[in-house]
Amino acid sequence: MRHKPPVDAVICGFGATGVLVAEALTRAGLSIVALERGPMLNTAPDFQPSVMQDELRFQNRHGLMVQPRLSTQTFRHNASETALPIRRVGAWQIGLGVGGSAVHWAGQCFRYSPNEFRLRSQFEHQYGPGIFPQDMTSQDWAVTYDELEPYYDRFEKLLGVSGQAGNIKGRLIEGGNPFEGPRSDEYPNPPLARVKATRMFDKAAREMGLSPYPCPAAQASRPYTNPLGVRMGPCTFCGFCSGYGCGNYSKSSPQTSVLPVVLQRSGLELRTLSVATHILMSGKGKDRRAKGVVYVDAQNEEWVQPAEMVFVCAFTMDNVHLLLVSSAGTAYDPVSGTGQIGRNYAFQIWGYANFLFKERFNPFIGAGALGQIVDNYDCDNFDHAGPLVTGKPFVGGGYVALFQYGTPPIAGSSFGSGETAVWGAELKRKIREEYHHVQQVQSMGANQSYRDVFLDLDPTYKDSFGRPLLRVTYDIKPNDHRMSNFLVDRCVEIGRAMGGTLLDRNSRKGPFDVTVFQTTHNCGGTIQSATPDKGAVNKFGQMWEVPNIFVYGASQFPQNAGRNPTDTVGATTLFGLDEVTRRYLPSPAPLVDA
Amino acid sequence: MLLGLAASLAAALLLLPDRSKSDTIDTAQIERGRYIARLGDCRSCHTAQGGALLAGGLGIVTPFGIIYSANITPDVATGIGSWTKDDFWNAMHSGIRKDGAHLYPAMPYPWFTKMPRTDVDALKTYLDTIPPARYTPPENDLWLPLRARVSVAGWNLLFFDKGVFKTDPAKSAEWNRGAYIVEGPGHCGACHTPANLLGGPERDRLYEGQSIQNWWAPNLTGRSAYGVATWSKEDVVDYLKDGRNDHAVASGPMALAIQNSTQHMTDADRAAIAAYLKDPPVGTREEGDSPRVSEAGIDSMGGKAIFRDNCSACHGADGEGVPRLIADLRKSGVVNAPDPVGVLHAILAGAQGNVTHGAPQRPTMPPFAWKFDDRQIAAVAAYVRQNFGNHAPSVSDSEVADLRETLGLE
Amino acid sequence: MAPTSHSSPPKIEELEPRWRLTRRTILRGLAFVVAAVGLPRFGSAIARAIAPPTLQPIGPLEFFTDAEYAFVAAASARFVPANDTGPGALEADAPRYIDRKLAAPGGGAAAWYMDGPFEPGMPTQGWQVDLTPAALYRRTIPQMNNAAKNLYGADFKDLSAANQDALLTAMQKKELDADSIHASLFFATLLNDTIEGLMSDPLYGGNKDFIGWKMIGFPGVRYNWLPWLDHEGEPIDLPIVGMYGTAESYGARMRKGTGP
Repeated sequence: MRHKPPVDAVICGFGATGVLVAEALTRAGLSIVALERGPMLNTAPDFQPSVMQDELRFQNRHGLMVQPRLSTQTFRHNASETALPIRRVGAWQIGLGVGGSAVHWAGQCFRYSPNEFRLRSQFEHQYGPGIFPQDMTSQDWAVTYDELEPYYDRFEKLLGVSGQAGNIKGRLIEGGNPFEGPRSDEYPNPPLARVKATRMFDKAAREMGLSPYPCPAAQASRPYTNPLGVRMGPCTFCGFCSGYGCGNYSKSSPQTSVLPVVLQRSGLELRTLSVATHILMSGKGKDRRAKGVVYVDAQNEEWVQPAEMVFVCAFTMDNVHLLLVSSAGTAYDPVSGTGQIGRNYAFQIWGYANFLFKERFNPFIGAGALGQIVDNYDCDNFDHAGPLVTGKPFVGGGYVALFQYGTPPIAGSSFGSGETAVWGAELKRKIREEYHHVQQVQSMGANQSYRDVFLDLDPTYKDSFGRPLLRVTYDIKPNDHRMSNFLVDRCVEIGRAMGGTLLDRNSRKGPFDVTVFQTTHNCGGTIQSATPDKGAVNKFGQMWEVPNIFVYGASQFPQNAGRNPTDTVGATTLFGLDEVTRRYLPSPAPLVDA
Repeated sequence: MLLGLAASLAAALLLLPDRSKSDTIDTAQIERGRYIARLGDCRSCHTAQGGALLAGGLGIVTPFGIIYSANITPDVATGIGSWTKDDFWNAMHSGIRKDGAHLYPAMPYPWFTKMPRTDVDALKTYLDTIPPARYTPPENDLWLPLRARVSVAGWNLLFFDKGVFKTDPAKSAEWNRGAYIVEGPGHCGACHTPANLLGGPERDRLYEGQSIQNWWAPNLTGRSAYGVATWSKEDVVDYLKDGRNDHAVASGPMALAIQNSTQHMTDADRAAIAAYLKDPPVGTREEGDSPRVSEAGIDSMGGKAIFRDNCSACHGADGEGVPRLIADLRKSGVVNAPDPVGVLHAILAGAQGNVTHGAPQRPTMPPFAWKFDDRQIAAVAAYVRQNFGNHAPSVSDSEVADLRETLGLE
Repeated sequence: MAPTSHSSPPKIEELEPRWRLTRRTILRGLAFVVAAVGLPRFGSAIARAIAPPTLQPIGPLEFFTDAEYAFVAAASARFVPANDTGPGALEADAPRYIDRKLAAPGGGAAAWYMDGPFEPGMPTQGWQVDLTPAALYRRTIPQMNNAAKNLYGADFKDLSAANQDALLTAMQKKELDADSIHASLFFATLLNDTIEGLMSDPLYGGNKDFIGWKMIGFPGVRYNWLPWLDHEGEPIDLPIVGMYGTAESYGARMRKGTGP
């Protein structure tokens, strides 16, 4: 194995968090190497209008995604089953290439409710400890909303988010989300325009006494220049948004926010088509340190990149995988409940109800965050012990919304799966009659963490570099099933109030199906915690066990909230990096005393 | 490293006669020279991709073959380390090399001749401080009749107007400074002034624009109905600073000139250029409306639909673009050029802008040669050139075919 | 083994046009244009990792035998039938789309993880058979024709529509699954591929004349719907366009050769 010249820091993964790390560290004058397993991707020509609007290539064949042949996981529902490899892209879609999954994201850019960061305290306080089942390991975050607020603000300005503030410094604003935590400032851009369906949702929800507001969208509603001088153009609602790169600089991504500036900075060397296979470790106990990263380049040559610091910035699954195969930190043991790497893995409980309307829509028009939302059913915004909740109260909640993403024709022609798949004259009838008249009311639900839901290394299957695959042990538990049922009931109420006829409803229950796309909101596995016994990293993303490894991304989340993760991924990363540059760089040491 | 230093010292020793007045290096003079090198954009031509700074070797493509730029580092054997300031003055002012041979006018001495001796000396002082690079550029690859450099003598007789810039007392100091930069070190006319059949600048059509390197260097004069003529002074300054303004985004050779030269100018110098361009010298002509293809004719070519389906997502339904990111096609100098080459080049091969300190993003247009045939590209180019208030001649399929072949595109 | 599912984008130098003598440059060459600018870098090469789609004319079958094609054609005609509301999946050439998909390297599984051991698993664990889609078609079509003969006395393609539907239903309901017979998996694959062939861009071989997109009411892959945002969902009167433009431009480029 040949060695590259040492650098101050190496970044594994050059997506949403990696570019933020590179920006902060080059600003501080460090020499850094960024390793990205995929290719360089630019708005033009890679996301060219005329290339991107290809549903088959980019949705069905996952043209922008990490394909299982390069990297995958094995999956089982519980420890009694044998995990088998996910052989083709299914329930989640991990982006490949510079920009990562922040290239193909939908652009829904929500803050979490302040209560989300003190989830366990809040629900215990409100409903008593009994609301938490024995095996539920959801916990408070190490960071608070107030600490993150300036970084949410900064991230939203970097991304040029279009939205309507609902609460600025405690002053409620009509048309915004009354449940949101106090903001220090407006969104940098006004909300996106509305379409017929989102107006119908808004009207119905308002008449029900709910508080609809426009989804905070990382699609620019007007030309915009971010604080780094990077420019965006206005969204044109092409409808090829979630799952695609944006061709006209209107959906925010690293390419339209941070990357152009970072690539000009001296001190950064970006190596694409380079797979970080493991972190080189040394020492034991409290002297355990990373010495650098081993990676394989496009010529299949293995290199050592020595570094003083290692930043783990890949997707949730890959952050956990890299630490496990490197023996960086102690692997989680679900039997004893000890060890940190791999614990509190969670996903997202997405549910929906489809309605047929007499109204006609043009559903191919859309954007990933073109929607109206209600937060009345998120987190602890409603009384979980009140009359609305039938049966045993549950922990968590989520948003209920109507989005017009842009429905492409293959997706618009597929109904059911397996034994319930529709075909024949009935399929043709549905294709012809329903496409323009169907809307979906959906819920993005929280997902709690459990002692026996976790990530570890598979004993049987290996990847193309000879490393064990990551094993996912996951299922949907009764608490989350009850929550999903509750949220989909709310979807049904609103859809009916809009005048729709219910076609089908889909709340989530086990067994979890890894073949059906859900979201790419996987989280946990290297969670943040106030003390070393409760998680892998402190609130600045620094590993408790290895103080020169920093882990950024949704793998820090101790459980998943009732909405999309990206804004919080950005804010926690910026929050951590501020402390790294302020305190760690002058004096490398643990930033929080154990 | 040490070798380089030794060579540098050797170069400095050879220049002793010129330094005799002072024992110390004149840092003010070096800085002045460094700035003049930026004004003159030595780097864009004299630095090859991946090559040492100003070591030459970049192939400059002309219709008569390739001319390789010279090594102007202070290397004695391969650069201009052995040149005296007089030698350098002769090259810059008269187009004559140290060995007495003529320079090809690919080296813009017809513009540099306007520079006073003090500026040329400062430039040489600076050039003597850069790291010497031992590198001999390739031989020029020219058509036979032009290989004899003496052929340039006749050209000089016809078109070379030797002489230092003269201040116009009727104009402001700012205007004169702008005129000096544009006509002298900035050598704007090398691209923007049409060349006659023998390649000499058409002095009565200064800065009226021409096709260059398969791009269009637009009309800079104040009396056109399009492009720079429609810009404010602030627009000009903005463009020179960042390669973009509310109307246009630089691409092609100009993007490079902005990257390497104009973004490094002082605000005062950019303002001076704008002052000069907005109060132009004699010799410009009005541009009239070109004969239009009828509305029905344009529609039948299909350009309108192609524009709507492929171009409007970035350039806007009405061609308005996005200020400082995507070109406004309305009243654009390139779009309204008599020759569609700039528009066709961008559509066929795409276009890339520049990066500056103030504008870190490189605006890029993707190529469409892979998607459209010549007829379709001609149709959409014609549509753009005759809509949104534009009035330029239509475009033929064969013009597209020729450029496609020239650019080596399928 | 190093990752090979992606290739590095071409280097800028590789894409640079060489200066070539053409009619245009000869005409221009009359003027000794001495511009000292125009680096090759700014010529016409912009590096890209995501290649534009290529459009290859439909010719002879690329994967299926005639017998296999006949089976797939008959099935697609039942999945989305031609009837009084218009043509169906067969008329849209969905089977030709499937043929081309399976002919590609990897038989439709080039990007999949196909290392063993293979175990049956549960349906919620996804594809776990040691077969590429191409191999699944090749193996299962004769098995289903055998079933058709046993149950109804003829190859699938020669059955009545009602009997074809009955056999397809039996496949879907797992009634024909056995140790080495993956009838329900094949059914799901074939249905999915048929819908892809009906509704994907015509450059992939199906959706002929935009039959699929006309059926669903999809006006094509435009990138700017701003002018229609406040359209109240009313129909948009525009010709359908795919990645390569209108039906006419596909017709001219896609179907030069002879089909089956």
